[in-house]
This record gives sequence, structure tokens and C-alpha cells, in this order.
Amino acid sequence: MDESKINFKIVVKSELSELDRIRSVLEDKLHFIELIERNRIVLVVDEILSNIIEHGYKLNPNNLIEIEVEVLNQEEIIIKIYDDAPHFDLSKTSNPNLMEHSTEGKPRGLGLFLVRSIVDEIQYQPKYPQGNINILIKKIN
Amino acid sequence: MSNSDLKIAQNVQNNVCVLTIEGKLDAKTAPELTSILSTTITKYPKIVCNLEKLNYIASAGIGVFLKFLQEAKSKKGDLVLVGLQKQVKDVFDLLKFTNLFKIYSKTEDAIKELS
Repeated sequence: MDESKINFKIVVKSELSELDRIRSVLEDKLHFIELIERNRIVLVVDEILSNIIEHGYKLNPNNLIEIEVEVLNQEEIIIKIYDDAPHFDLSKTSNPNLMEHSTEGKPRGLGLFLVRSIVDEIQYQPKYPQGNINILIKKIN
Repeated sequence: MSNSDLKIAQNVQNNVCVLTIEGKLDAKTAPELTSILSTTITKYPKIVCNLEKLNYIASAGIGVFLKFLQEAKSKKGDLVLVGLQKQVKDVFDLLKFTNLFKIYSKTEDAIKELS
């Protein structure tokens, strides 16, 4: 397989049980990327999907999410995530107060902070009447 | 307690509860760990979580450890971690939470410290 340009698409149901499957597919397709870097990419997709399933679709399993992955020259990965949930621009959410999380033991709200920490660029396009396209760009070290 | 993604075994040594957690901790499986820790911590506020066979963690899993670390401390106990794989430790590092937890390489050392 020519790994200089990789392009694939995965469609998942809006169920948390799909997370393991999508991670396995990503692990397999991105096997040539070093473990830590690959795990970070998998984590980004996992966190966004979890957020869409739990908050966008409110755990209603009768929806689909589409993930498009493009790797350019093993140097850059572009991940596009399409959903039909209410508008949510993750690039505009503010970072959580990590000190507050650590001292108060707040269990949630860290995922999108991780996403922003890992990727180099987030682009957002709303779909109408509802739905979102999140485009995540990350250089591969 | 277990499903295909996560297995949790527990035993008690010197009044310290040791949870051996295997598999993947994500938004789907984190509630299982929450459920077990909620029960465990009322009797044993000193908890060792052995993560040697945990090969994936998402923020939902980190959040559970954070919540019960604070709860354990409020009960004059502690929650410590053992044997983090490097990709798991990396997620703690990204959140700058690595220093919040005492991390050991061996379960015996963690138990000795908490006993």
C-alpha cells in the first residue's frame, strides 16, 4: 500500500459501543505512525465522537457520524467529522480550569481541552438546518 | 466486573484495596470504574489502581481517577496509580495531571506506602 497518501472514510452509529471499533480501525490504518503520536490522533477522534454522541445526540443511537481521514505524505493528517447534531463550534469553547478540575475532582469536561492541546488547527463549518463539520489538522512528528 | 473492553479485579491487602484494571477506559467503560470505586471507597479509602494492562485511556477515565482521588483524600485515604503504559501516561501529561497522583512501578511498593 502506498502510505504517502492515505484516504479513508468510516461511518459509525451514535452509540458509545462504536468507540472501540473506530479506535481499532484508526489503529490499523495509521499503524505506520509512532505509538504516542498515533494514540493522540485516536484520542482526538474518540473525544469528539464521545462528545457528539453524549451531548449532540444525547445518546440517541438512531444517528450516524461520518469520519473522513486523509494523510498527506505521512506529514499531516486531516480528519473531517460530519454529524447532524445541533450546532456546536468546538473551536470556540473555552478551556476548562484545570486547577479547579484537580482540586475539586470534577470528572468531566477535559476531552475538548485534550483535542485542542493535540491538534494544530480546528476548522468549523455548520450545516443547515443543523449539523456540524469539524475539520482537525495535525502535523505528524 | 468486566465487558469486552474493560476488566476490573479487586483484592484487599493490609486494608488497602487493589484494583487491577485491564483494557480500555473511555466514555463507555468509565461508568463501570465509577460504580466500583463508589462502593469500594466507602470501606477502603486507600486505593491502589494497577494500570499495567490498561492500554488506552480517554478523558472520561482520567476524570474518574481525579474524582476519586479527591474523595479518597477527603476520607484521609489516597488513590495511587501503578505501572502506567507510556501512551496512558502521555494523556495524564497532556492534562498536566501527572504530578497530582503518586505513581509507582510496583503494586507492593504502593501498598507498603499506603499501609
